[in-house]
Amino acid sequence: MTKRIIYKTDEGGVAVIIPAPECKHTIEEIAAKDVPSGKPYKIVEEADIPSDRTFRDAWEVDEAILTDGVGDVHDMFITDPQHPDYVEAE
Amino acid sequence: MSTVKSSSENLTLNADGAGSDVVIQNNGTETVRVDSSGNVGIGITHTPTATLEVAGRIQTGTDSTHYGRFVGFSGSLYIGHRNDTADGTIIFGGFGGGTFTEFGRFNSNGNLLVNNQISFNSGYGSAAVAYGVRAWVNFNGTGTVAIRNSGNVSSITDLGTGNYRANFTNSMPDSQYVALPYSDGDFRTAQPTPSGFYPAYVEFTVRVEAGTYYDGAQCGIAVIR
Repeated sequence: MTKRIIYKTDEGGVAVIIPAPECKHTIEEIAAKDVPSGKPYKIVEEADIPSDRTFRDAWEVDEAILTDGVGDVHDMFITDPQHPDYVEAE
Repeated sequence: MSTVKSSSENLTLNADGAGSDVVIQNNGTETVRVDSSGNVGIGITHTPTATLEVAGRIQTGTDSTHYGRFVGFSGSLYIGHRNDTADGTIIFGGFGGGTFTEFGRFNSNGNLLVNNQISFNSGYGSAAVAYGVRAWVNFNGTGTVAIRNSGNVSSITDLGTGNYRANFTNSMPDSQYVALPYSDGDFRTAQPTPSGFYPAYVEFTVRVEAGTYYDGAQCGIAVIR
């Protein structure tokens, strides 16, 4: 999976979620579960994340671009399409 | 067609005599035998040596698409369940007082789910309960952070230099587990974040001896419970 999920941390930095290749769930399902509850997030390409980590702790993100969704209150995958919080893959 | 029929009373096939068997033939070839001690053989060419001895598949079910099957083939015993409309799960359990209690199952993904503890001889002189690694991940924390391989980990969250969160695919039952992070490099310390134990994830850090956070090329964590 070459996608990454980014969100803004409480400290103002950037958290980057790296999906496990073995995980059978979609990037949207992973985002819903693994982004902290209430945090807006953006799904980006792996290439969009800087590979130079020299100043990793100084990374920032404009919250205005975090428009792909908001972290769910659930900490488990919701796979039932009938569930009100089910996230359909795009 | 010839029919042996009893309309209003039991029908008895009686091989009357010591050591005499009841034999059914088809086209002159024996297909079923009930020997003098009550053992039944089907499709075999010798006297049955067990209560029921069958040469071939044993299949039970309600129709042609829902059945369980036992098959001896090429020296192995195959136990399978066909179910064309559901998941083909094989369920193990017991009938106590006529009520079925499930002990465990193989689900359609081949996963073995056991309802209680697993005990086995681990090879170290112990047959006590074995407690397994519930989640693990191996990843490269340098450059473009990438997971090499994992089990029961949906993702890791890169929170900063040497600062990670492992998100579990299936949550732990509680936060009272053991987390064992590691990293490559001399004088590196990988440790769980004291406040980072949750059923859904665990947080951990990697630092050099002086306390500075560090990105390791070989990082990971194992969770035991």
